[in-house]
Amino acid sequence: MWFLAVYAAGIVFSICFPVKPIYLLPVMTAIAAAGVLFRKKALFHILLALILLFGCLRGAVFKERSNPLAPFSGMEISLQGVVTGAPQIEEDRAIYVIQSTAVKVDDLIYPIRTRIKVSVYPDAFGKETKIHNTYKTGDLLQVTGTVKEPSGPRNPKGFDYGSYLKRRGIYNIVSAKERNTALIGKGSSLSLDRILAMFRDGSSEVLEQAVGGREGNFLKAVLLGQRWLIEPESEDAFTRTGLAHILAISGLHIGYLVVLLSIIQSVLRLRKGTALLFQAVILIFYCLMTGASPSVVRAVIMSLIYLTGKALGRKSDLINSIATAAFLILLIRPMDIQEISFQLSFISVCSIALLHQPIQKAFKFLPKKISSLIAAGLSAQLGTLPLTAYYFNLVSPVSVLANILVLPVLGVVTAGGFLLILSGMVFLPAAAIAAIPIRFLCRLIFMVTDFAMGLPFSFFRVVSPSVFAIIIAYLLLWIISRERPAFIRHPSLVCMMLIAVFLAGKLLSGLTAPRELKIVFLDVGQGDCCFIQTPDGKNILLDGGGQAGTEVGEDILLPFLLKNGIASLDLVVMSHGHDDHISGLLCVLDQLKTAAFMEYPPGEASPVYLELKKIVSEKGIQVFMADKGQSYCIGKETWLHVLYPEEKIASTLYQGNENNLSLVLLLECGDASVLFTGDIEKGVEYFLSKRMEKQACILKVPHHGSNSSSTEAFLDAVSPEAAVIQSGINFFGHPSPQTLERLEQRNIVVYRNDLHGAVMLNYRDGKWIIRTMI
Amino acid sequence: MIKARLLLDAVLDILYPRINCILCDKPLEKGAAHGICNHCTDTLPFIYPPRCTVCSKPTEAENLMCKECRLHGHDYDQALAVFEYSITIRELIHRYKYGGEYSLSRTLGYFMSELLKQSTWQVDMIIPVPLHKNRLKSRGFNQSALLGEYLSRRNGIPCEQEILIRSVDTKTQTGFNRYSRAVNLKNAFTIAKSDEIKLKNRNILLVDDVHTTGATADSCSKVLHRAGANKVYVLTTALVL
Repeated sequence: MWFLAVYAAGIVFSICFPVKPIYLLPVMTAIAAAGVLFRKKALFHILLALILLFGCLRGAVFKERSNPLAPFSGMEISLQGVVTGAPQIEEDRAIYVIQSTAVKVDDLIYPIRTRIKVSVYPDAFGKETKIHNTYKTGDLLQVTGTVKEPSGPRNPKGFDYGSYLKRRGIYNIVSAKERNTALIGKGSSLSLDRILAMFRDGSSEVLEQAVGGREGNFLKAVLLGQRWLIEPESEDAFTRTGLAHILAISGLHIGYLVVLLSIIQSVLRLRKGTALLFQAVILIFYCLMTGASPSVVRAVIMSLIYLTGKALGRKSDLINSIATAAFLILLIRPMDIQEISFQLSFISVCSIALLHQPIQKAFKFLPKKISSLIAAGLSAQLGTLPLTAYYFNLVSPVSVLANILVLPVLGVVTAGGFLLILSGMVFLPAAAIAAIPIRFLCRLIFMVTDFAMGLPFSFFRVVSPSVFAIIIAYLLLWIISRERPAFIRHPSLVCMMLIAVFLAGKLLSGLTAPRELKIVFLDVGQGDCCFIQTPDGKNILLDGGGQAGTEVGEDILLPFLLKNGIASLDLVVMSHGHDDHISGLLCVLDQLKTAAFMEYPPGEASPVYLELKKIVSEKGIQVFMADKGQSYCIGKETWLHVLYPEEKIASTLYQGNENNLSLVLLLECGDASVLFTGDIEKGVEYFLSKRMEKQACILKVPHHGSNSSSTEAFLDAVSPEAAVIQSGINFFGHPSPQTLERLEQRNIVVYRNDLHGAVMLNYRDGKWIIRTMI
Repeated sequence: MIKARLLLDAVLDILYPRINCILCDKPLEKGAAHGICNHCTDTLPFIYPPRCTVCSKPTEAENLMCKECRLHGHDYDQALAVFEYSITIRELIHRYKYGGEYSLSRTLGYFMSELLKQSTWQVDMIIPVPLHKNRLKSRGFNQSALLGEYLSRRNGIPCEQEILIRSVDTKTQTGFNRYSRAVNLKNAFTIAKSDEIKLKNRNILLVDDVHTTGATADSCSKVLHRAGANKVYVLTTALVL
């Protein structure tokens, strides 16, 4: 336990602070020498110190690893390599992880060995396209495509795809068309990878044939770890009801598998040693087959410790087994400590181990079995609560109930599913018969989930708690747990003290926080979205982006707001009624408390706009109609002036083009000024440049940098020092080279979402500080 | 061999530490290597002197023999037992024998070893009461042998498991009275001819888990004496009063 704690601390330390591995070695030798000198006296502490440093070393070594393909980033390369792990095959794309053997760039061949994630897309565009050829694990492929380093977070506190892949040893992604991939050889058929793939494909085939449909996909996710087969909507439902953990193979599934195995072995009357070997081999095989995610590895290690203990006649201690499993995992893959699934998996078993007893005591008026079930659900829920709030901004009170209902059914489903796969491999029709009750049980699980979703207060969104709050929460849990530190005599008193410390800390941070104007131009792909926080903490959202095929609101905007501690908005502004400005607002208005909404009614109302208006009226949000000449005081010394549209002029400039009804807003805060221009085009610009009273420091370049806007006269009239272009991958050629040239001629510094990710502007003490994510 | 065994034990102690008391499941005090907390240790039914000079049953005064021993006598020279066979001890031994918790051999063995150290016996060789090979197969281990091995490691006395053999698969002793127990065990034990030389003039310590009427111990002692053993002592975990 202590070994784990200090080792993990070492890794965390090395992640937080850059340490060069070379400096660590002499320190370690020195401490080891000290250990030899002191001998027994402080051996334990010296050992701890050594392990701490070893953790630092491991972390630092992993961080130092560099990308061998870095010089070729953005270029087209040809690579040869072997497919490893489970390929992720969907209708319209296939994703492989390829261990390269050689890379060809510009007719030069480099013998580079690295893991590359390759996404293969259909040759033609369009909705009906499909992938025709798929490859299997162990196949030797030749792929030609563009190589890219995966990007880090594109928005503040956004998902860091780059480090997510790096933890898996993948430094590059290649996207290729199907016609540019070719099979050039089969790998040796006896490799472990190949055998695993054979079993995986075989099982998958059985499930497809015997069960099929939604239930089949559910089983494939639950039993084989092919989670990507679950449709996003059902996954959402599982997440919101706190059941997402059943989709990831974890202790639960391994536990059911162990029960099944022990039944099988007692039927077969195996000897103790043989039985252990039999179980161990199957568990390890299963763990590798499903992709060995941290939660499976954890569960398998823990069950092996338990089973070996049983064979040796030793009782395993839960907490100790948890620590051993964590230590082993981190020894091999230190960076897994950042992995959400690792953290959730360990926190949940730890809290079940520690909190089960006290909670069960609180429910002792119920029958023992029920109270035990409630205690297990509640303790896991309590333990993971701070983390789920932090990562997913979700709290689902219904989860305990949902879990109590679903878990027993899931037990039967997993055990039955395993048997079904086994029988199906021998004789398919047998599996088909077995599938009938299992399909029914799967449906039962869906029904419970839907029912739980439908309950009032089934889930709500919360702001990400600060790290400080999370630490306080875990200290509280520790104090009420079974392993309460001995020096604490009055737990309730200490709890109150902790809460007082928390409140004091919060107050203090509120008082000392710098008072500044913050503006974030979010990277929402192609579309506009800007978040403004006034010096006195008022939150304003200007447009919400929106791109076909993505859920900007759900995936980018809402997480951004919640993760940055924003639970309510004081004003939401819609510049004009186009989807790339308002789609993302739907979910924000629906989920977050919003005080006011500002708009200028579009000439022609789109479906999205109508839905938006419906939400606004349902929620009783106050609506302001913007009109030229209005000035809103949106915060202390912060003003929002409406420069356009003016009804008379707008109606002549409109000409069926919604862009020309865009709101033009000037934000003023002390000496700082920012001009928001929506998607205005030439005509409006001409009108505005004539009567520009003030210049602006920062300009949001109109219409994503299109050539039909940003005329010379307008740019001269505004005369900004810096400009922000909100554009992403698009087919309109935004931003246009001509626009960029005009901006450059005037020495305006340009920040672009497509190149820089989100752009953050802070104004404090008369100075602008501008940062970008990339 | 012994070193490897100790190393293995050390590794296993890291994987399977004794953190909580095996009886009350509360955290153990430091140094309670045998796995029972101080509080529970105090409640255990140790057999204290005065006790019977032969079978160690509690008596009224020092240097007395109990009634049974005066009446029936025993084939062994002297027996000692750590505990009375109370409910707690019975449960503990059941967990050890049938519940698969082999590691309890260290707890029970610890107390037996302490008692052995207090005694005045000069022991040359430890012999655990053997199981018949059929029984060994079905139970998976010999409870007395594990205790014997533990005592051997702790006290540095060789433990011999091959000398004494249970050649007849007798019925289990439970539920029999004194007489039938003796009959049941008649000629159950033998000694390999070639091993007789090892026993000549040696002091033997016979190790078993429970001492009920002493029939098993007597039966073994008889064969051992016949083979030329000097003294035969018996050490058991519990004694049925």
